Amino acid sequence: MNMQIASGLAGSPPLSFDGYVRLPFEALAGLEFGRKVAWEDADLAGELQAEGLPAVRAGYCEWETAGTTVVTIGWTWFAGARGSFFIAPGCVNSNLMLVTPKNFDLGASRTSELLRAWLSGVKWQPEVVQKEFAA
Amino acid sequence: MVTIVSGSTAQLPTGVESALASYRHKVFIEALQWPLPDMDGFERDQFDRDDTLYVVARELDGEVCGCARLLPTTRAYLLAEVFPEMMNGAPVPRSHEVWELSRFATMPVGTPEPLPREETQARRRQLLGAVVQAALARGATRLILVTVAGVERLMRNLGVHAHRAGPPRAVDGKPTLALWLELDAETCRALGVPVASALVMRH
Repeated sequence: MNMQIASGLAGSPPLSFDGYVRLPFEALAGLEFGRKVAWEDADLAGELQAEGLPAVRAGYCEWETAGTTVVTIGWTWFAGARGSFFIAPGCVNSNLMLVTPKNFDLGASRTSELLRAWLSGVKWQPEVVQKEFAA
Repeated sequence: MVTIVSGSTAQLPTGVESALASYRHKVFIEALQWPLPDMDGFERDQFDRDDTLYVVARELDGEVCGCARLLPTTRAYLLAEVFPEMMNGAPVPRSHEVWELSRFATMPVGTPEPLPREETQARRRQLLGAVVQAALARGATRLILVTVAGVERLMRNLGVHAHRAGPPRAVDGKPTLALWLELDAETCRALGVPVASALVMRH
């Protein structure tokens, strides 16, 4: 079972002692990501090509909630020759640790896989891609 | 073939500290153009102290080809002094079990051609493995680092247990965040560090 430290303002999920925010998968749907940014990284497409991905363009997406304790999810995207956006393999990062209904950790790898699965069910593909990260 | 030495300035072999400061200048100031103090071809700052732990990779001819710096969080360190807001509302770590990793690099500076991707990956793995072993030997169970967002992908490619402490913020125009590196069995296995060393050091 997991210990948590104080959560701050109402509405913010609690922050655990190890820096993770622990939530069940079902709670993802209830999070409001008020900040969504996507930007292009000119060097990243070449790095992904070297890893064997058909990346013509590439960059990063960042989503975060508001509140005292922020839930943050970021991932690497790439676009192929036809312009469609894809999430790069193994590249969903966050401060989330998803837990079972009995509040046991699912683990970092399984959490990343589930976040990727969750993203596949929501519209994440950016309509606007910035050239640089904006604070 | 790369050899690795670690220790404080007093513990490093003669000449290694100055070679390290020169390498750091070439990598972080000349190549990456970080806005750091330039001390006539050497890069050092206020966190390079007697108790700072260095991990230095060298080619067979002795030339420095990689580095890392470890700071105890019980004294002044980069995140606590400069970027405390990166902790997502949590207090900055102050513990004998948490060390800060900074100035990590495996960029070669003496060769005109970049290393093949596989060699670069192997050197990252070797150096980070040495960092983890050095930290475990001093009682650390976790590392914290301030880094750019792209490093998360490199960490994931290495297979270590790393997770962000909070969202990225723009620092000098680059998305920058605090990242936890857990010195657990998952990280040790990924880096080829004996898992027993992580478990033994914790009990």
